[in-house]
Amino acid sequence: MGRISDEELYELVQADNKEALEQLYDRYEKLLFSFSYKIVNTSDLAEEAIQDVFMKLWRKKGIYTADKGKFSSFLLTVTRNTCLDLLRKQSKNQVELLDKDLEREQTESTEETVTWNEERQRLQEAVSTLSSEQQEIVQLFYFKGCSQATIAEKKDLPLGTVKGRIRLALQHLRKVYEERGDRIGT
Amino acid sequence: MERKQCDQLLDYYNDQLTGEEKAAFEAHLHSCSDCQQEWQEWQALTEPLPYLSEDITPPASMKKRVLTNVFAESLDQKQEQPEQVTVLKPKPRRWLPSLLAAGLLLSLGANVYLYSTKQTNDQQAAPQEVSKTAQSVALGTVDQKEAGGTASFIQENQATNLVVQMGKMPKLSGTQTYQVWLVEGDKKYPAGSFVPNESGNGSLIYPIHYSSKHKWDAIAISLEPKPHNKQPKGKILMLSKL
Ligand SMILES: [Zn+2]
Repeated sequence: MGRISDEELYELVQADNKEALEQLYDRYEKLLFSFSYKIVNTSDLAEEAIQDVFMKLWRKKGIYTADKGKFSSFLLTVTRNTCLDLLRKQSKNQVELLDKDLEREQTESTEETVTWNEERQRLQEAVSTLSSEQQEIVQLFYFKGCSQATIAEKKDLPLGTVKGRIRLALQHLRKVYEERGDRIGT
Repeated sequence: MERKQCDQLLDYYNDQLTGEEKAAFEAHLHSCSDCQQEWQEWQALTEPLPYLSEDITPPASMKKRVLTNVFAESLDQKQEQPEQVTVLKPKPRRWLPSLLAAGLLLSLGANVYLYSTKQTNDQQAAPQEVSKTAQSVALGTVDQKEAGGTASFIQENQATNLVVQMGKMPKLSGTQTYQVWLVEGDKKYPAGSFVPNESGNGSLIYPIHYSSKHKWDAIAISLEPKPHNKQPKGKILMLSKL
């Protein structure tokens, strides 16, 4: 289709091309917003995270290089770190706010927007094969960014076993996920 | 001791180490091939997890807010960079970048520059996002039917800026320039100049540095044979009372 790749767009971003950043924004807005929302639980914080992420892309030239893997994976990692950071700052100040009035305004989904329905379905199926304790551990570790000590305390586990349990859960998840279809991005 | 460091990998992954621990671990990661390998493993294991997120449609207005702020910040930086070496310059004015961004944002949409007096309200939407519009007038002419636009006074952090956005302005040649004037009684004070692009669109942001004691009666645009005049020498094309 001759679609310009993420990596190519990022090259243009490095040359201060605003349209390129806007295109990356259009591609990833929905995925990053959904992912951020899953971590921070409010629309406001999710938006703050996304702004931080694009601020980094725009200002910190060279933040992404090809040796960091796929651009999308890199972008998701930066988003997760930003969200966890916001979450920590937030929880220091106040109890978690639940976002009741999330605007669900309809925005147009173009061909250029990243969608992940099929991946999500396969992943959810894979998650459902985990025990509820494994599911909680994955949630605490990946989506809440808890330390091993916190997970040990919350799940009443010996500290030394936490890493092994997370790994086991994630390995299982990945195996089931891959059995059910092609890998993401292929 | 070595074993203990390797055990910190996951807490490093979740950024749960203190500044000192973090620096020590980074140094360790640099030299420990076990940890490097494990790091790759965790990257691979977690790679699909973001796709577990439920599909949520972001607020429609988010894109505009985010990109305005991102581009405003970058202008801010570029403006501030010389400040670090030049000591005698006045402090950077924070309002200017976001105003420029408001203008830039307008250029993101292809149709925004289609001016007519009817669209006055739409045109003002972008500057209002980032600052307070104190007053706004439509600019039109008697003899240039199509040309027109708006002038707005935008207040931000105690400073006032004049933002002029014009469309369908007659083409200029040579050193010709459109100059904007603030009129008080029979006196005219220069307030910037602009040259429209190929399609006749032009805009300017002028930080009003005149004393706030002035009571502006009107705003005017003149066609000047040469730029940077202290007083209008050319023909006044547009005049709007404030
Ligand atoms: Zn190690």
